[in-house]
Amino acid sequence: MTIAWEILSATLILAGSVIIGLAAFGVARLPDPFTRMHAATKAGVVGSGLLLLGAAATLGGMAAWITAIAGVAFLLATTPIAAHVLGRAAYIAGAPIHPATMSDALAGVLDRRVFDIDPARRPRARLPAPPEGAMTPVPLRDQSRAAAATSAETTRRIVCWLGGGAAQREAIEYATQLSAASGAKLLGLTALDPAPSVRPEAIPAGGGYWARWSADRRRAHMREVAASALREFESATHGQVIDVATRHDETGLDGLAAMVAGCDLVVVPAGVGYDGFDAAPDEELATIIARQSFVPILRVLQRPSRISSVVFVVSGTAGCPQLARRFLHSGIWPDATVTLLPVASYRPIVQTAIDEQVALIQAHGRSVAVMDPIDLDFEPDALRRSIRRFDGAVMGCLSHQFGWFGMVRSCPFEVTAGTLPVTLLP
Amino acid sequence: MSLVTGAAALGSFIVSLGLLVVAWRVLRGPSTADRAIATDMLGLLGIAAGALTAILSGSTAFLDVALGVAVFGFLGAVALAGLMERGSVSHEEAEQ
Repeated sequence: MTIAWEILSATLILAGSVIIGLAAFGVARLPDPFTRMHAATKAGVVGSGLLLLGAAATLGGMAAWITAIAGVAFLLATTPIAAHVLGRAAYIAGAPIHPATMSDALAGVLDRRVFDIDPARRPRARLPAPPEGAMTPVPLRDQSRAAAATSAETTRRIVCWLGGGAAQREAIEYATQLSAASGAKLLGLTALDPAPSVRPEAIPAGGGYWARWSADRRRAHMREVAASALREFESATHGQVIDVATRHDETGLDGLAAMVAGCDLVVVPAGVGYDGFDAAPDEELATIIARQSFVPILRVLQRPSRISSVVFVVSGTAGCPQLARRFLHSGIWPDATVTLLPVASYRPIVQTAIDEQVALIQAHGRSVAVMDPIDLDFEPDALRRSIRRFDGAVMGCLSHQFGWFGMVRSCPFEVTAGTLPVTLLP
Repeated sequence: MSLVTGAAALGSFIVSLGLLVVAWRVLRGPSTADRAIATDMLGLLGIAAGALTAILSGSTAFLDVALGVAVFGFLGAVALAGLMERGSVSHEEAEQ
């Protein structure tokens, strides 16, 4: 090894060491991640490359040179990529940029998370988790507020659901009448399922194609029904001295809470399903909306002239013990007399529900009576005759038929809902 | 030996010092990005250390070690960058 070659090697080694040392100090000392990265990658790759070449020059030989040159080539190829990826990730992760930075060319180009890089930041103290199964206490409400919550409120906003069907006209007229009587705002609402996402298909055949075809037909039918119901609504409310608005919604039933937010009553035509076709009571519009139990539902079969007496159908199903409270709370029909129809009153749960509701209605100063109870195997015609004198029904559900007994028995809810002109599902 | 050995010894000292300060930056942070960048820099310093070891020991095998460190440093940098972009390691965990 000649002396010149040795001096060259030593120079390479020293230069590489000094440059990579400077890079290391730059990583430690520069103010923000981006400047640190600039030091690490630019100076780092030069320093390492010079050291590799210096090693090859010292050791000599084909193997050392090939390895060193391959290493330098690899460094030159990959370090820019690593720097780019790291810098991009640091920017997206929200790494701090030093205040002295002149411009941020990526502002608005890349999303940037807000990221806590305050060096003085301490880890947040975590609250101890409550033990498994612990219950949070519910604060007691004072009695005056509790009483106010159960007292009757005035109806301020009514939604008239424009779902089509034979009873739509009657429903619109009754909603208009209610709104005119109480001074409530009236909102005509048409609702459709959201449009399905269209996915192109290579061959227009197969189950998916026909399913989409029938869904399109269904949506088209819903649109037609909604449009004609909207025309009816506009002609029926034209010239009335009430506050009328209309709205079209395509979020589907998932957006039901937003659709009926802030309204006190939803007027629904009877006998029509969500898709605008005729439907059985257990899958018609009123049942679907009532299942979510956001607001009282008024199902209109015919427009009654006036409501002077209503019948509560009280059986052992869910919601029946709450009928009176919800009815009083909804505040509609404030001067109707109340009659309770017990179904299978030999069951203690039904008898308790009857007694409680009689006491509650009497406490509100309303007249209340209890009909002769019917059994579960009642005669539908006899029930129809005995309830025909009422103007409206208040029930927990429209239909409670399921299972084998549901097939052979007739349901008191369905019979009542089919007989009386209006049904309230509070 | 002479000139080359002296230069390599001095270089080793400088690189060791650099390793220390970069390791301090890895521990100190303060952000995940700082740690990732300092880890990348540790890889480059590892290449330098490999080259210096090859010189001091006179063995070509350490150059292959340096090459391996370079490959894995690059892979590690890309993986860390992906992790940071997804943000699946929360900053609190990184700081604790």
